Amino acid sequence: MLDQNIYNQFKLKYPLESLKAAGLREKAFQAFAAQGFPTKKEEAWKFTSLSEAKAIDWNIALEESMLSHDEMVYVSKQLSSDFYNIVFVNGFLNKTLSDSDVPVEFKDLEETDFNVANDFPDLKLINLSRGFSFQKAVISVDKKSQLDKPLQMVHVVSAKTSTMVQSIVQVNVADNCELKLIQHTLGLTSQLNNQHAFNADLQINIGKAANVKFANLQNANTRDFSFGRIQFSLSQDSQLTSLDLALGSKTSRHYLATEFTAENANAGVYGLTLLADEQHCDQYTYVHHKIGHNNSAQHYKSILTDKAQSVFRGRVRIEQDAQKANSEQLNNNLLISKAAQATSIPQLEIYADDVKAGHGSTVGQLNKDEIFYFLSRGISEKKAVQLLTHGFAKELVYKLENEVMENFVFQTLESKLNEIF
Amino acid sequence: MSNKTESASYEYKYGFTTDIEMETVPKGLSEDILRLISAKKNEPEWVLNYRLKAYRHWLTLTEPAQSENKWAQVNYPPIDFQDLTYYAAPKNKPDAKKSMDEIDPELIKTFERLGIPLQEQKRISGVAMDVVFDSVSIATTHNEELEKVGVIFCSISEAIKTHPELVEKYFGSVVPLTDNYYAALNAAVFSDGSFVYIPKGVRCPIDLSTYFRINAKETGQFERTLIVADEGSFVNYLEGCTAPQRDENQLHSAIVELVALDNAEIKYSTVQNWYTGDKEGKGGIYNFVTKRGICKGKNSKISWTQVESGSAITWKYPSVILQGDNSEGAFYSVALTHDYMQADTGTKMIHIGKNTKSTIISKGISAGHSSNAYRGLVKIMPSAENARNYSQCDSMLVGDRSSAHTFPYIEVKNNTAVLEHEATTSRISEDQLFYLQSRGLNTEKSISMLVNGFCKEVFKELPLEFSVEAVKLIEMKLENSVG
Repeated sequence: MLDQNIYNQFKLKYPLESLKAAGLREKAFQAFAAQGFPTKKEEAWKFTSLSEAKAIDWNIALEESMLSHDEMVYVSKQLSSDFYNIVFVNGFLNKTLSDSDVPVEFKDLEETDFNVANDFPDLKLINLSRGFSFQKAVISVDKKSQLDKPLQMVHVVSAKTSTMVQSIVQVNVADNCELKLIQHTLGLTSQLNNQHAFNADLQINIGKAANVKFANLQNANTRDFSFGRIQFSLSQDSQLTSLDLALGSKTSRHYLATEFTAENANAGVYGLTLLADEQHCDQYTYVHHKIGHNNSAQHYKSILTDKAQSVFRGRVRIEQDAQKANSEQLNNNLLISKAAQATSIPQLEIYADDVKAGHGSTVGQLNKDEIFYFLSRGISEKKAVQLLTHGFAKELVYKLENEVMENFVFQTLESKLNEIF
Repeated sequence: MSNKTESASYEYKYGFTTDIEMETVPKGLSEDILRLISAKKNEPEWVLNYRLKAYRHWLTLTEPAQSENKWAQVNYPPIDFQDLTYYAAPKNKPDAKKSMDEIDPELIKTFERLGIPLQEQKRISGVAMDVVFDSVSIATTHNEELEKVGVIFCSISEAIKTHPELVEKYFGSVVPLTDNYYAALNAAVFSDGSFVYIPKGVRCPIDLSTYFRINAKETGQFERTLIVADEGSFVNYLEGCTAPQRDENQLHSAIVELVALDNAEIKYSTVQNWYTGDKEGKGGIYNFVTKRGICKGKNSKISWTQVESGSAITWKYPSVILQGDNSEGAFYSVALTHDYMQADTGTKMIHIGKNTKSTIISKGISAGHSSNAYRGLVKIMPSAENARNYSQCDSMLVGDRSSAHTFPYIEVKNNTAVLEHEATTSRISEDQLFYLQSRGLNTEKSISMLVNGFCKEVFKELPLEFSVEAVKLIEMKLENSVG
């Protein structure tokens, strides 16, 4: 139980130096203890139930656990030499598996790390994250520490009981710099008997004329819970391409916010949800045009089979002073099986008049004519479905426009697709 | 009338008040008041019990805009429900059985000013009217002609007395009293409205229409309309509304229920032109309405067409439950907001039956400091094989202090469904404006042409007279908002 006892234990082990921060942490924990997990009564959580997570007797990961030999091998397989790799086990840096030349440092939480807007839809999860955290990992990329290869950040959970892991990562990309980053949440096969929860908070600050390519691969075990908040802040003339893949977890919530703080920035925000069995994923995107003369494009797709369910809520807000903002959004849902369910809620909130904003949303099944085309050429129905869904899914991966990242994402995607079909 | 000085500009020409002796009940809401209203209307016991049940349920609810889980894009101060009068009727109300000549001449004049002649010789040909003044229906025209084909068209109060079996069967069957806060309030205090029954196989020979007028001060109008189209029948129904210009906000909270049985079709059109408040956003009507139809039978059809150009705040989602196989629902809407108006409107299409189809076309125009939101739900239940939906929601912004929002909810629980939703938001294209101006049209005329073009898809669904009126209305309203 995430109660006072467990909190006291945690606090004792990881005190915070700043008294103010310690007070705010206490407050965050107390808020979580009083309010618990979000419920379906809240508008932002209307279609996603956390009652299963609520019923679990959670523990908090107090330290890194020693990975077994098999687990080491399993993780190592994901650490391609095309990348710089850093590996977190239960939220703690694993030095053995991580490359030493990654510009990452750990900082104790300060007062400012506890700032969250009161109307933030996932406030309860952030309270949980802040209540049980003591540090954040800060990755800084500047002219001196520019990386010549993409950086892969791997998260795994290894524990004998139902354990909840918090992670706070902040990435700062300096002006005129580039970063290619993959956040990879990986489920260990050895952990299939346990139910874990991973609550990750990632902030990426993109400097002037900087260029960021980012992929989030959420591939946790299918009994686990994943909660994630990803926030991008774009400065003048910056470029962002983001691809969010939801493949794993029993229930997952991906909150992804893109905020324009200056003019002439471009953001491409893409997402793909591929689920089977009774998996449920809730993608909540928020594109905030605070300032004008910016472009945002969103394209989210979901492929659902068995009894899987997906929720896409795409919120776009264009403020009164954000004239000449351009915003596009598209959501396509493919229902492979009878019992699969898709919910789509595009939201446009527009306060400026000289803007272009639009959204589109579709739900449907595979085109019968296309399947027939395959059948008439002697290709089995199973193979036809497989090929068509592959095609549907792959379109978004190419948006990354980086071969190394694309190949890596494909590899994970393929194995999930082959598993399902 | 605060804006008399700007005589050149558009004024709300329906803003006058009628000085007429009214019979009201004391202000406030309580079980006693409900008993009093019920007694005044001489209602059977089941109606009173229904009111009391609704009132008790209403007491357990929280006003939606004050609730913790507020979802609507509207803001207004809390409403003091004890400061409202829930029943107001002209004293000289003619008995429905008596002739038209007995209507208070003051009332006849009022409706003539509104362009609704009650006297037989002046009536608009081809349209039968039920006229509701504050809480009561004062006249229903063309009764004899309708009786010939068996169509029942009268006020709901009258129907409760004369056709209790029909009313009791369908009343509250589409919008239950527990539906929402304002539905519960309406079920408790509903005053008057129209009742329509189209018998089997009858194509209603003339269009039916209700005209709503709020006159009395500090009253709420709680009308209740029920339309039942029996197997194979067809009806075209029009609704219009106005209110005087007053500085206080007035509450209008209606329920409209439509029931379409096998092969029946109901077309419901509204031109809503309640008083919007003045240029500073003072006064105006709060229009909190629950409208819902059910396609109960096979191959039945319901369509809602609305032109929302009035009210300080609109909160309205005409919906269709597509229960019968092959049934069809449609929603065509133009919502225009200007000055400080707020509108949160849209539709719900609930697909339950097989091969059900729905179409949503929504056009929002926001000018001035107004806020205009489309909120819709398309829900495909697991039983709705081969359901089809097409939605299109376009918003147009006129003026940089206005806002436009789109909140569609799409829930699909059956993989044979095909569903498309599109939305766009933009302002009037400068190229188009330039093109028209270069041909000698002034700015206002050009904008009004472009807006009319933008709304065309919806206007063409309206009956002819309404369509002409709607075009004029939008033109007038925009005249002053374009700077």
